[in-house]
Amino acid sequence: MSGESRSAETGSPAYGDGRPTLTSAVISMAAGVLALLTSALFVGVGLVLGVLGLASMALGLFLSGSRGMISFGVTSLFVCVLLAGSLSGATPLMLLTSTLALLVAWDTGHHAVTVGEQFGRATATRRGELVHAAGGIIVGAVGAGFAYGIYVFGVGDRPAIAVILLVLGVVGLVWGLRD
Amino acid sequence: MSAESDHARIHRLSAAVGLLLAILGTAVVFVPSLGDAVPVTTLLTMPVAILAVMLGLWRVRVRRNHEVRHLDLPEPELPFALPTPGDDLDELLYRYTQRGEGTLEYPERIGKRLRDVAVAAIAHREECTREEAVASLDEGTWTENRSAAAFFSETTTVPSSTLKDRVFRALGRAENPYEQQVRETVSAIVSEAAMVDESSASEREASYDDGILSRLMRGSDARTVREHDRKSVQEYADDGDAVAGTVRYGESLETHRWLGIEAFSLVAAGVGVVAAEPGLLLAAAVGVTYGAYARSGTDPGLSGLTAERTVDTDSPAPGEKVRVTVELSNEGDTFLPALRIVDLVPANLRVVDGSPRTYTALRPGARVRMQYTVVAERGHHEWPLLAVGSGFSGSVEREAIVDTDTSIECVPRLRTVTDIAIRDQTTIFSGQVDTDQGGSGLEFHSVREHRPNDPMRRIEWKRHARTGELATIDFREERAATVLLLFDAREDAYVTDRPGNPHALDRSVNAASDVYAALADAGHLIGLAAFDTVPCYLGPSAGSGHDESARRLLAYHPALASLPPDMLDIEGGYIDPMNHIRSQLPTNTQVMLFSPLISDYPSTIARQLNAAGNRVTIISPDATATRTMGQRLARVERRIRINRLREYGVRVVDWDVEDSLRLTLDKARRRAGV
Repeated sequence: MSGESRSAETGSPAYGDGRPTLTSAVISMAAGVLALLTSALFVGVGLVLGVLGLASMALGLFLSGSRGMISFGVTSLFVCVLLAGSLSGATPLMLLTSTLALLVAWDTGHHAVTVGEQFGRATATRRGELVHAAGGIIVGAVGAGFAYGIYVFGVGDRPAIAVILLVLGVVGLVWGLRD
Repeated sequence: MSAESDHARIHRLSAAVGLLLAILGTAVVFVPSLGDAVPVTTLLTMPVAILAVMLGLWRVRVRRNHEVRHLDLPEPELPFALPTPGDDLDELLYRYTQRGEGTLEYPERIGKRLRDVAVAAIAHREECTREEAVASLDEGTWTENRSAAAFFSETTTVPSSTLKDRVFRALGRAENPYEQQVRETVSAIVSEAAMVDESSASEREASYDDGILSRLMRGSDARTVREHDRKSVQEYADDGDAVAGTVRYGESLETHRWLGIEAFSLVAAGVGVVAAEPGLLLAAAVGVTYGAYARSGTDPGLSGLTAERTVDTDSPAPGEKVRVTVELSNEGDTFLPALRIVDLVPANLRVVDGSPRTYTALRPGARVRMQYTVVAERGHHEWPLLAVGSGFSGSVEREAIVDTDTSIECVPRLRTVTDIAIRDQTTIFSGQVDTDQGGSGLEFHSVREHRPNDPMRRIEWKRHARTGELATIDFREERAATVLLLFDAREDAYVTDRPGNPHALDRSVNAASDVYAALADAGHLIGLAAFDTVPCYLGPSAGSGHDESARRLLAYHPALASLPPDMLDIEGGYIDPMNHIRSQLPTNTQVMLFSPLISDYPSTIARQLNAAGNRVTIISPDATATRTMGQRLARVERRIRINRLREYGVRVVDWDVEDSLRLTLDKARRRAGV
C-alpha cells in the first residue's frame, strides 16, 4: 500500500503536510484581489501597499501556512481601503465592497490554516470549507446591504451628530461586550 | 465575588449605553431634526475619532496576544510513539548537552554505561579477562581514536579541536564537544564489537529520534508519532455526559477566532469621522456585522448524530488488514455547518490506507462516509467516533463522542507454518522427540534379551525361528516434550526498531502462535506464561480445549496486551514477575523464552532456569536500530548479552525482524547442521 510505505519511510503525518487547504486559500486570495481592485486602484501609494499585502497573503496561504503573514497581508489591504476612503473619495459602494472582501479574505484565510493543520490537503474538506465561506460572505453582504440601505434611504443631508452617536455606540458595545 | 460582579455590571452598563447611543444615532439619521440641539465641532469629533482608533489598536494588541484555540483532534493515523532501545541514552545526552540538566549525574551515568559495554566488547574481542579489558581502557590503548580513548582514560588527552571546528562552534553550527566525544566513543565501541553497522558509512546519523523530540519538546512541529500523554482513546471512551442514546457531550470551547475583528470597524470609523467620509463609516458597519456574527455563535446541537461502522471482517488474525467504513448521519433537525470528524482508532490498530478523519457540513438527514484500512493487532477492539461541531462562524466548538456497536475480535489462528526444533528434554509421554532410549517407536535401535511382558509384536521372530531364543527389538523411543512458551512482557518489551513497526511483544506473540501450532502438531505439551506484574500462566497440556484457552490467553490476557502497560488501567502490584511461574512450572519442562533482550533481567531468568534443569531456548526479535548513537550502543549491548547466554549453554535464536521467524530458524538449523 502506498500509504503504508509513505508513513513508514518518511514518518510524515498520514494526512498531509499541514499546509493550508486549497479551497479556502483560493477563496481568500480571490477576496484579497477583489479588495485590492476596489480600493488601491484609486491611490498610487495604496497600490504598492496592496500588492505587498497580497504577496504576504499568498506566501502565508500557499507556502508556509502562517497566520501572521495572512493577518499582515489583510492589514495592508485594510490600510489601502483607509487611504482610498480618506484621500481619493472612492464611492461608498466601492468601499463597502472592498471592506467586505478583505474581511472575507481574513476569515477564509485563517480557516484555510486551521483546516490545513487539522486535516491537511489530502483529506476531502471542500464541502465544509465552502459552507464556512458562504456563511461568512452572506453575513457580511447582509450587513453591508443594510448599511448601504440606510445610507441611500436616509433623509436629506446626514447630520454629523448621527455619525458621532453611532461611533460612540459601537465603542460602548465593543468595550461592554469584550471577553 | 463582588469585584467580579462589579466588572460584569460595568460591562453590561457600557454595552447598554452603547446600544442606546447607536439607536439614537440611527434615529437621527432618519429624523435629522433630533440632532439639531447639539452643535457639532471638531472639539467633539476629534476626541471621538481618537477614542475609536485607540480602542481599535487595543483590540489588535489583544488579538496578537491570544492564540486561536481549537478542540484537540487526535491523530489515529500516526504511528504510536514506542521507544527504540537506546532512546534513554539519547535522552540523557540531550538533556545534558542541550538543556544543561543533570550536570553531575548525567555524564556519570552515560560514562558508566559506555564503559560497561566497552569492557565487555574488548573482553570478547581480545579474548582477555575483564581486568585486562579494564586496564586497556584505562590506558587508552583499546582504540586508535584518541578522542574515544580519552573518554575513559586519564592518561590520554583529547585532541585539540581543529580551526574548522572552532569556527563552526563559534557560529553555533558544530555539535557540543562532549556530544562529539560520546559519538566517537560509541563508534569505537561498535567497531570493537566487530559489528557491521550500516548507517555509519553512508549518512551522518541523527542525534535524536523523532520520538524523543516529540516527547521532549511538546508543541513542536515534529508531529510524526502519537504521544503518550495525548488524550487517549480510552479516555474518550469514558468521557462526557450522555445527551442521547449513543451521543455523549465532551468539552465545549470558545475559539477566539474572531477576536479583535472590531478593530477594523473602530479604526475605519475613527478615520471616517476625521475625513468626514461616509464610505468609511459604512465600511465600519460591515465590521460591526462580523463582530455580531462572531458573538452569535452558539453551541451546535449534536445530539442527533448517529454513527454506523462496518468492517469487512470482525475476526481478523493479527497482522491482517481490515477495511473499515464509517457513516455518520445527522438525524437531528438542525443544519450542522461545520463538523470535524475523527474515528478514534485504538493505538494498536495501525491505519495504513485511507483516512479516519473528515471535515464537512451535514444538513438534517444527510450522512458522510469515511473509509480506511487498519492492520489489526491482538485483542478486543471497540472504539467511539469523535465529532467536533461548530456553528457557521466557528466561534464555539462542541465535542461529541458517538458510540457504535461494532467491534473487532483479533485472536491468533495458531496455524502451522514451520517446524520448530526443540531441545532434547522430554516427558514420559510418547511424541516426536527422538531419544537415545530404546523402546517402542519406528526407527530401529537395538535387539535385547526378551523379558516377560514385552509386547508380542516386538519379538524378533526371525531369530526365534533360527535359534529358538526369544529376543525383543527395541526401537528408538519417540517421546513428547513439555514446552513452556514464556514471554518477556514487561515494559521493556514494548520497543520497536522504528515507530510504526510492531513492537517486540507483538512480534513475539505472533511468532509464538506459529510455534504453538507447530509444537501442538508434533504432539508436545505446551504451556504459556509471561513475566509481568500481572500474573499470566497456563499450565502445559494438549488437546483442542487447551488450544482454545491458549488462543484466548494470547489474544486477551492483559499481561500480553498489545498496548503498553501505561496505556492500560491495570493495577499490577509489584511482585517478582517470575514467582508465579517458578512455583507452577513442572520439572522436566523446556522453556522457550521470547524476549527482545533489551535488559539483563531476561538473561538472568534464562540462566537460572537453565541451571535449574529447564533447557532454555530464547527467541529474540531484534528491535534495535542504528539511527542514533544510543541505538547503536543498545545494539552492541544486546549482542553482548546474546554472546554471554550462548556461552552459558542457552540456545539463542537472534531473530532479524526483516525476515520471518521461519527463515531465521531455517538458517539457524543449517548453521547447526541439524
